[in-house]
Amino acid sequence: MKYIEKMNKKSKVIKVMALALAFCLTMGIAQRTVMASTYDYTSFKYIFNGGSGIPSSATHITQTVEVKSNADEYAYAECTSFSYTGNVPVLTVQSASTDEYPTYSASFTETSEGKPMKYTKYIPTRGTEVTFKGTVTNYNTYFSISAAVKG
Amino acid sequence: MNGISKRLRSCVFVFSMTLIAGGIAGCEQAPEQTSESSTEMEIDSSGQYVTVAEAKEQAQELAGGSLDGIYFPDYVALPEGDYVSTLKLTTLYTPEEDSGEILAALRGIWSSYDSVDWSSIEPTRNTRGPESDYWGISKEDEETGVWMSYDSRGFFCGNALQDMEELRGDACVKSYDFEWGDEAGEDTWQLMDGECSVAEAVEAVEGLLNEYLSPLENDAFTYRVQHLYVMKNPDTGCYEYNLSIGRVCEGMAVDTSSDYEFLTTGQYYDVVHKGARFEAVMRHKGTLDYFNIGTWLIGIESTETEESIISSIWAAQQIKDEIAHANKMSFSDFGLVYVLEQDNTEADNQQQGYFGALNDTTYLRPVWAFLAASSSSSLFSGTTLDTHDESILVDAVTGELYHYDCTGIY
Repeated sequence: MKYIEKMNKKSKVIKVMALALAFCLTMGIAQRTVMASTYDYTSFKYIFNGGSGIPSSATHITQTVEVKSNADEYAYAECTSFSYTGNVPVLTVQSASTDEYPTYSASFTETSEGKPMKYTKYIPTRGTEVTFKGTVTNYNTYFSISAAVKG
Repeated sequence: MNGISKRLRSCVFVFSMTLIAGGIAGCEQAPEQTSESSTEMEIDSSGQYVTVAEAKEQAQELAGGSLDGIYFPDYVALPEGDYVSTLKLTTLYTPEEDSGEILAALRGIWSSYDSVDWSSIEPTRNTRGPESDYWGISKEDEETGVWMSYDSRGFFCGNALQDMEELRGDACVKSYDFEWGDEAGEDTWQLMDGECSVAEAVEAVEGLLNEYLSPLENDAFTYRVQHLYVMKNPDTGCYEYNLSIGRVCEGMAVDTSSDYEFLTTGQYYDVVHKGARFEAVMRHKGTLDYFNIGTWLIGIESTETEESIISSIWAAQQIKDEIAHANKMSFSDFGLVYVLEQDNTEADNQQQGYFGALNDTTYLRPVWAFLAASSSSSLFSGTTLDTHDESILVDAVTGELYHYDCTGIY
């Protein structure tokens, strides 16, 4: 009896999964279930800094960081410190693995907890390396920004 | 519970002893190997192309000295043989979802594979629509949190780390850069189940990969632990080893760096460069609690063998001629290695893109790598110290010079 019940339950699960797959394929997004994030944020190597008056050798306007995918629909970026003079700079974080794993971007003009960046093409299989790029724009005098990414 | 308490007491006791032996003030690295006080060398200028044997001799002449204000480390990474190759790469595609070969490799490499009845767990599948043959599978034991994943391009990963996070930089007490000349010596640390020397750990891990992974890549590569970080686990009081493992092709190492990149916008090349590596964690001696191949298996589509290559002296002279501040450069890592190269898909946008999936333009190219030590204040915010500041690659076949600001972090 238990075996038959298990088989019936399995049939139902398969049917539901098939419907979900059809729906997801229609939407162009890979079928998957949301998993709890397992990896901590990985900080960008340098504090983003730059602006006039800072030697060019110390200017960090664009950087990348590799993170492991959590097989979630979203990666996340957080901004942990933000200071500036003059124009308000804008930090934009987005996937640099644009051929397979492009994402929407996350932008920061102040410190912020994790902002989602949705994978728009494929969701990476769990543990896959994905490269994210941070770029600072709109500055004119000085900025210093720290940020991190979770896959 | 008593068994766990006993292990903790054992770890704490031996930890104290190891403190006395090893020293724990921050992440101890190998001493800086540049020789800024070295006498300027008098080296005969060289023709552009020399035999590989002569190129190796020339590089050894540069080691530990300076040339026109450019300082070189004591150690030079060099291939074992007297030839190098340019290799066109391809993916090794596995069409079957239940790939026995990949799972067998994962089972051999990752010690926790048999701790879970994977057949009883429903997989999560990643697919890419009807036009693509790609598939990816993940499975997780909800009770223990142990999980694994693998895909059609040979990516595979197994994770039994109960805390689900690799330890970060402030837990590192010592690092070894074997890629750039460090040696394990007699160093021994207390892991969860007993002492394990660094040398033993390296031998065990290389043995696992050479046995189980090499056949998947058609025996084109062997594998070498290139970087090892001794991490202190604050929960257990024991140590564990974080490992970055690289490929070796025909006796020459593939660099393990992340993307070679610029720190400002507006600069770009027609190609992009990156290293390649796998990541692993050893908490129990001789076995791996975590292993991640990171990307995909690599196949070799074609090989062009070179017996004459760019002279390292000629390459250094090119650096001096092309880079304004070259007479103040100090390289911590230097040698002849392979790097991954492929076309820059952002070149039309006048931007430096980043390495993507293997495609028809992907090669392993031999390069003279001139790499400066990283001064990053965010050291080890990922899982590695394997990162560089100013990085110059000189293609050992064409002489093309690529001058990057740094390599990324992973």
